[in-house]
Amino acid sequence: MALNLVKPGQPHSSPGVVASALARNRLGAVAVCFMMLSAAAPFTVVAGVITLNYGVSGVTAIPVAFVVVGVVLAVFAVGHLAMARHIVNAGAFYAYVARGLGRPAGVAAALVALVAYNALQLALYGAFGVTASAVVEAMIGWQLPWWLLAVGLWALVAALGVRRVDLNGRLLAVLMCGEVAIITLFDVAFLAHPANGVLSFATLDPGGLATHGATAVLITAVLGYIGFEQATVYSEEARDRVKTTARATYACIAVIAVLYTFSAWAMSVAVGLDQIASRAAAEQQNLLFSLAGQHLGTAVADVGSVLFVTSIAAAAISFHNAVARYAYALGRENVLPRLFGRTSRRHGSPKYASLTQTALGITYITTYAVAGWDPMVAGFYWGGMFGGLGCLFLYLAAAVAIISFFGRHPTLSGNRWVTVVCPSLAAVALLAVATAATLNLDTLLGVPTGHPATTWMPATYAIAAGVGVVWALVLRRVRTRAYERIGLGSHAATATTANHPHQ
Amino acid sequence: MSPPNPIADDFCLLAHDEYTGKPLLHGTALGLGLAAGLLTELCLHGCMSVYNGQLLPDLRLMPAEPVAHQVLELVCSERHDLATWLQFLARDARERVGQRLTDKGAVYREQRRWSRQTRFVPVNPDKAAWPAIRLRRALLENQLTYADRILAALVVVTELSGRVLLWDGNVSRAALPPLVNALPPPLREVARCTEQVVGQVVLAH
Repeated sequence: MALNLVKPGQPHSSPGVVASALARNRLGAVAVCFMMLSAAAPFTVVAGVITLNYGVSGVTAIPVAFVVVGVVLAVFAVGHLAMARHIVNAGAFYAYVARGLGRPAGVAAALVALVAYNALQLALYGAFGVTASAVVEAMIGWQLPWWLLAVGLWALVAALGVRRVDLNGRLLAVLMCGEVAIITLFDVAFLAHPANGVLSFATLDPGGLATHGATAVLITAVLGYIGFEQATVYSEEARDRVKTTARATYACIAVIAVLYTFSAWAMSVAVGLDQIASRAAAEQQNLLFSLAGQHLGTAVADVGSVLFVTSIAAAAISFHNAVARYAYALGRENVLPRLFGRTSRRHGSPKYASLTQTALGITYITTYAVAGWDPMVAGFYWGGMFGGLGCLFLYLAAAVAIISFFGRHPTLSGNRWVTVVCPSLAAVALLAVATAATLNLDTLLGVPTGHPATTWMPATYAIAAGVGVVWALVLRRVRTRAYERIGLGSHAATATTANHPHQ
Repeated sequence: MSPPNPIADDFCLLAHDEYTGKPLLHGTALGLGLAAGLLTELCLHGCMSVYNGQLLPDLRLMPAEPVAHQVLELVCSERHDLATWLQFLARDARERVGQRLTDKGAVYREQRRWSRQTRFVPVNPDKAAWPAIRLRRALLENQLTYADRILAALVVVTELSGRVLLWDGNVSRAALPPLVNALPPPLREVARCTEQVVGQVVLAH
């Protein structure tokens, strides 16, 4: 019998069978970037959010808003990626806040994020209903109510969510490539046919943001970038935890910045600066396709509108699963009821979290259908802006948390640019953006000053944060162990036994 | 009374339907639960310990049982942390344990025609249902053996509790999780780590 005692700490030379077997499924930067962008559903933003934003807010500085927010988020990403290396559960910003600013703030951030992500997901049902019914009518002539199609998507999302079917990565990638290709085609055609024959750069002028209320469209830009932080979620599955994640994050910001800025600008060039707001208000999400029909022929425009519908559906499925996973992680660490942290035995899906999301979905569709609210502007657009505002608050809190975290652990990273300067710049910029946007919500939503929506949107987040702080303090009193695990997500199970060096 | 079954065998029978051999757990949790079962077997045999997320195997105490022997040689061959080993062993744990049960004559292998999946169908459904019944009764009477406690912990961390609790309310769901904390440290680490990896898989895309 072999006498072979393996000593603890003995290094092993080659990567070995185990590592290479497990590495076979590892992701590279391109794969991670693709996954993030496909979940971001570019067409939903370009054809839905940007056109509605031109129409509802009447602000023309949208292209430059994407540039500004892109730069701010790229600076923010420096600290974000640095902190991601030092904490577990790095995909979720509430974990950053919990580690940087304390657990009560962490729970507050978790609830804010939950409300914001929920709003983003629910908003998609309205947009899908309207656009899909338009496509159905154009193709086979049936006039279906928007809510019927929205319920159809809801049923699909519910079934896929509980059965843990994520849309096939290849399918999503093909859809995304199709979307990007056709958006680029549209943009080139728009630039080739500028209104009045003049190629105007006015919408790219940063001065445009200085006009009254224009800063509110920065929320739209934030909305477009949501998901860029998700690369850290894949860090466990990435080939190189640090490099892959960083490359994918910056690549994602760059691609989104170029694509959305260019598209928003091209749209304004094709319609003309004086016309863009009024035409977008009149035609809403159809503006892009009517322009495309004019310059490229109806066939291309039709392909575009079908891709718009599939883009919204894909986004609804991805977001549903993302929200369910988020609630699952919170249930797993006892911030939400433990039920949310349980999975389906057969499918391994976060069953109860998914079902709750499903219940909210049908409530949302029923409310809008019964009340007769506009599913496009009051549903999709307002919901999206509400979610975008929440994410903006979340980014701001994360930026402050990053500064505080590195302030408390000065030994973790030597480079002060990474740990102090960049996060501070990002925090100041995000604070300015958040303040300006909150004060000018009336412009963004296209409502008169003092409209109740401008109060309840920020107030909802304030309430969510307040509830979070109170709940955290209750947990500290009543369930000390659960309190100590806040921010650990699925790692909560091993919090007592495994070593978390920086805990 | 015959000596108790290896933990992984009992867990395997628990996690499959006693008549059809259909898995009652989704693939990842099943694999991880079985992998954890195989590692706890080594701990019980005394040829391995776990400390601070690392395996401390000792080849001087070779288990006589071939599967346990293979797993021990494997974990001696390379150094990785517990979570990595669980993920690695989970890949073919069902095959290993299924084969061991087949060799004992407890199950037979059945190739599914359409899905091309392998099922291990119990030869005697009554015997196959025994680990579940035994564990339930032990929980009811609060007389768990050492092996029962480990098995119960694996059931908790893979979220298979419904199988043991069944429809009677006599054993409350709340009675199960404390069993994990009551295990000796190495086994508790294996159980907690399994729980964490199962959770990670749910969150992974």
